[in-house]
Amino acid sequence: MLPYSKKVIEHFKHPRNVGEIKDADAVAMEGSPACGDMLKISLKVNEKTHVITDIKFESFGCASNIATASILTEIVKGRTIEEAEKISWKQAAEELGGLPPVKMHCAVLAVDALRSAIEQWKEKHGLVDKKPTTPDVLLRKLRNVLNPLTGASIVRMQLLVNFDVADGVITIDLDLTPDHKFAAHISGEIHEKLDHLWDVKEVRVNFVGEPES
Amino acid sequence: MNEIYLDNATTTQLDPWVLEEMKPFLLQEYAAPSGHFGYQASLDAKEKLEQARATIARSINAEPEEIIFTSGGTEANNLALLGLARALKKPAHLVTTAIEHESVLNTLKALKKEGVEFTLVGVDQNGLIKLDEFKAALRPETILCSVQLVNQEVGTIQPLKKIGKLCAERGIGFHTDAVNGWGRVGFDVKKTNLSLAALTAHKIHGPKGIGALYKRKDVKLSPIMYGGYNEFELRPGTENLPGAVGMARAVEMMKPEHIEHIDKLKRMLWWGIKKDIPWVHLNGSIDRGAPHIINVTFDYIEGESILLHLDMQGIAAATGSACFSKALEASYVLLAMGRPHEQAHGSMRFSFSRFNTEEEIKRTLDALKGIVADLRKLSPLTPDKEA
Repeated sequence: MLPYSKKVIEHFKHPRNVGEIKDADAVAMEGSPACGDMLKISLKVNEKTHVITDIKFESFGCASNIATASILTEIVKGRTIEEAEKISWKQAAEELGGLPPVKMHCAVLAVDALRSAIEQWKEKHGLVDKKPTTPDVLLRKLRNVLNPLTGASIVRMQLLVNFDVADGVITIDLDLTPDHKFAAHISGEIHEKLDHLWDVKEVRVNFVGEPES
Repeated sequence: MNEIYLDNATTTQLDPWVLEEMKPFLLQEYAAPSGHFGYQASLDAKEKLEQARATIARSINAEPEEIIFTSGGTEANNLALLGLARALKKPAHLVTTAIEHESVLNTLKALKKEGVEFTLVGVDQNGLIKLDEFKAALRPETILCSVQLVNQEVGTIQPLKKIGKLCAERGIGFHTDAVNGWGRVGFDVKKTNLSLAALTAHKIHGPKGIGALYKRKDVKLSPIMYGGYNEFELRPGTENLPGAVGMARAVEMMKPEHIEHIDKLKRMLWWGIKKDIPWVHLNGSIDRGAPHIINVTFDYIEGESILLHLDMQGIAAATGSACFSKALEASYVLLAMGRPHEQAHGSMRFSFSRFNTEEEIKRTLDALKGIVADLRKLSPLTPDKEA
């Protein structure tokens, strides 16, 4: 028995809205092939109504990756960008009939890629200001980094025991041991969320958890 | 069960003839073989167990009393490494490669807590052990080197004779995890200067739950489980006679013509892939690898997706992608061979047995062509979507 719902398999077998919009109003790429998943989303948005008139995706990734991207494009097509950016990864996963905890990060990636594309569109249209990366921004950015062991957010599970933003250097201490099964994965996800921010020079992730005796 | 099974490096179909050989020892002749002075049925069982032991010993040019039955390859590797280190009772050092099976690597990690150090030796781009690095890793306190016969993911055959000679010259013990080579890649414990070797039945059409450790007569081990005095006081528990009989029959049934057959299927699949699918790489060597394993990277796409699509068409294979791993990490074997992460994610392992047919390989090739093309249409990395 596959660990996936019928709907995940359906979207994996027949993904909707595949490809790239040639004269897109915004294009965003999230993830990287080195991490094993990567998503590109392109958008057409009506300037007056803010309605997403077309959306397409391309994916280098596993079944969950393809399925979450596919269903997300279905959900947001015809909606305004304001509605679309409110959709959470949990909603996307629920629409698919759930995902295994270890695959929840695929839903996060899909939602992040959509939000990046929307943010880009808003930037182009002068709808956002460049905000400095404050601790609040940091927590918001990391809210969607999940521990694949539980499928729950590292922020919500209070795994961030310490964090600090100073002169463009972000230091994060996690209450996980360095030999935690998913240490490399979680650290990679954190870098992915923070490294590209305009005022961030360096991100240091420390695993400070005590080994269980 | 999948119609086309190309995951024979994980496990194989039990040969019906092997099952026939085992049946009497499950149904009528179920007496335990332990006793030297038991009733007739027990003595008969003992004789049968010793015959199986002798058959297995012969297959690797060992003596019967050098074969200890275990529950499989994992236990054999555990017994070899833990047993040897614990028998020595002094600070020790072991040398192994970065691409060993987890039953070697994780056993060594566990031994670290008992004060035993180990060094991982790297491999080249084909997965062959770097001999210079290996020599440099050897220390005065090195007690054992553990190098596999055949790699479980890419099929690389290690130069065990050379390594055995280097160990023998220095008085260092030599263990091999021969689980993925036994029966398919010839090896001789004497010519290879082996002290220990792990074997398993279920990868050569024998039953699951039985394996063996070859232990040269002069090698001292501590048991790792405690109980009765079976298996030369090294492995307690009632002997698995049906398993032992099946294991012996399985190795007897591995014939040169089977090896030729699987080697042919392997080449047929690889040449077919190479001819019809662009942007592919072979991980390992077609001519110098084991006859039953090939590992191929399909650029720009991810292995779990390939695996699922193959599965939907009734074909079973394996992948080195992180998405398929329990730890979300790409194959450590391919990374150790210097493959970048994205190539490891796009890797597929196909492994063959004598029950596979040329027709199955043709169907697999057809399926692969379609699947790879479809997934590449979906991938943002594919350079030329028309190709």
